Amino acid sequence: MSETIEYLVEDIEKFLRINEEELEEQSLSLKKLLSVADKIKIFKNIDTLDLRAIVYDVKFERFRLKEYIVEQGQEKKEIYFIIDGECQVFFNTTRIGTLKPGEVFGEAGAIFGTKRGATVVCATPKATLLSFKVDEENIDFCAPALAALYKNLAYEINAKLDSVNTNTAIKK
Amino acid sequence: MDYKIIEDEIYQFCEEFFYDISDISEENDDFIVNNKLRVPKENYAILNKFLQKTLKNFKILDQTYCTSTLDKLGRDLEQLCKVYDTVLKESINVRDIFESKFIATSPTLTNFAKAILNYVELPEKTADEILSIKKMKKDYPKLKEIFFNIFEEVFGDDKRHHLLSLRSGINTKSYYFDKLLWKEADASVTIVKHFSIRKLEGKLNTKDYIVFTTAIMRPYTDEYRYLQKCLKVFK
Repeated sequence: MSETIEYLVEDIEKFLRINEEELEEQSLSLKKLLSVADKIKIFKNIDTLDLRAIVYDVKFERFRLKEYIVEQGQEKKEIYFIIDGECQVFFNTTRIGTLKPGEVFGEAGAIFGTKRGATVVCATPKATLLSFKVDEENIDFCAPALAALYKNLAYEINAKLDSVNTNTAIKK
Repeated sequence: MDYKIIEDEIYQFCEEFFYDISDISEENDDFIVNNKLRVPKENYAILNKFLQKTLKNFKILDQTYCTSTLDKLGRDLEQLCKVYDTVLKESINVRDIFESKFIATSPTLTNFAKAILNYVELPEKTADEILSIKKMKKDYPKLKEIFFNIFEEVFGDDKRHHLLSLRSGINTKSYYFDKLLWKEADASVTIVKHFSIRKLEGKLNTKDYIVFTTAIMRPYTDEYRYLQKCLKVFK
C-alpha cells in the first residue's frame, strides 16, 4: 500500500531527546513555580512537596495584546495565574472585568470540569501567565493538599462573586 | 437463522476490508509504545498540513536544512494521512460497500441467491417448488436487511476503532515532527537570520509563527480559518 519508513536508532534518539527536553522544561517551570509559590494565594498552606505532586503541565506562557488566552465554551483544564500584564474578561461580547497580576482565573472549569464561562484576552502589550493543571489522580496520597488547594480556589471564586455583587449593588 | 454465522461473515469481511489500516495502525502503536514516545492530549495531527508546508519553505530557504529523521517523519506522516483519508473516503457509503462488496463474499447470501436461481432455472416446476421460489424471493430482501443492520453496526465500530487508532499515531508523530522541525530550524543560520529580519528572534515555534502569519493575512479565508484551528492546539 505504501513505502515503509524505517526509523534507525539515531532517529529514535532524537525523539527521546525531545522527550527529555520537554521534561526539563516542565521541571524548570515547576521549579520556578515552587520558588514563587508562597506569593500565589491559591497555594497557601500547601507544602512544596505536595504541590509538586498535585500540579502538572506547568507552563509560563507569554501573550500579546488582544491574544486570546481562553475562549468561552472551550473545554480546558488549565488554571491561570497572572504574573505580569493585564487581561480582560468577556462574556459573549460584553466586557465584564479586568484581571491584574496576582489574580487567578480558569479555576471553575478545572474544578467542576465545565466549559469556560468567559473569554479572557490579553489587554496589555505583553502578559506573562503561569498555567497549570491539577492532578486529581494523586488524591489517595495528596488528599490534604488537594483539599487546601480547593479551599483556596473556593476563596478565590467567593471573592470574585463578592466583587460582582458589590459592582451590581453600586450600579443599582 | 444463526446470527453467529452472519456475524462471523461480517467480521471476516471487515478484517479484510480494514486489513491495511489495521496493519499500519498496529505497527504505529507498537512503534510508539516500544520507543516510549509521548502521546499528546492536544490535536497535533491538525498541524500536519501547516508543518509540511513550512518544511518545504525552510528547505527552499536553506538547502542544507532537514536531517534524514525530519525527512522520514515528513514522508511517514504524508503517507499515514493519505491512508487515513483514503479509508475515510472509501468507507463513507456503508450501504454501497454492503451491496457491491460484502454480498459477493457472504456464503450465506450467495448460497441463498444461488438456490433461488437453481429453482427458477428448473425446466418443470411443481406447485411446491413454485411456492418455495415465491417464499425465497420474499425472504431474500428480509435476510439482506438483517445482514445489513448487523453489518452497519460492526463495520461502523471497526471503522471508528481503526481510524482513531491511526489518528493517534498521526498525532504522536505530528508532535515530534513539530518539535524537530523547529529545533532544526533553530540550528540553521539562514532560517534564524530570516526570522530575525522579520523581528521574530527566539520565536521559532509553530504558535508564534502562525500568530505572525495570520496577523498579516486576509481574514476569513480558508487558510486563515485553518491556521486559527491550528492555534487552538497551543491554547
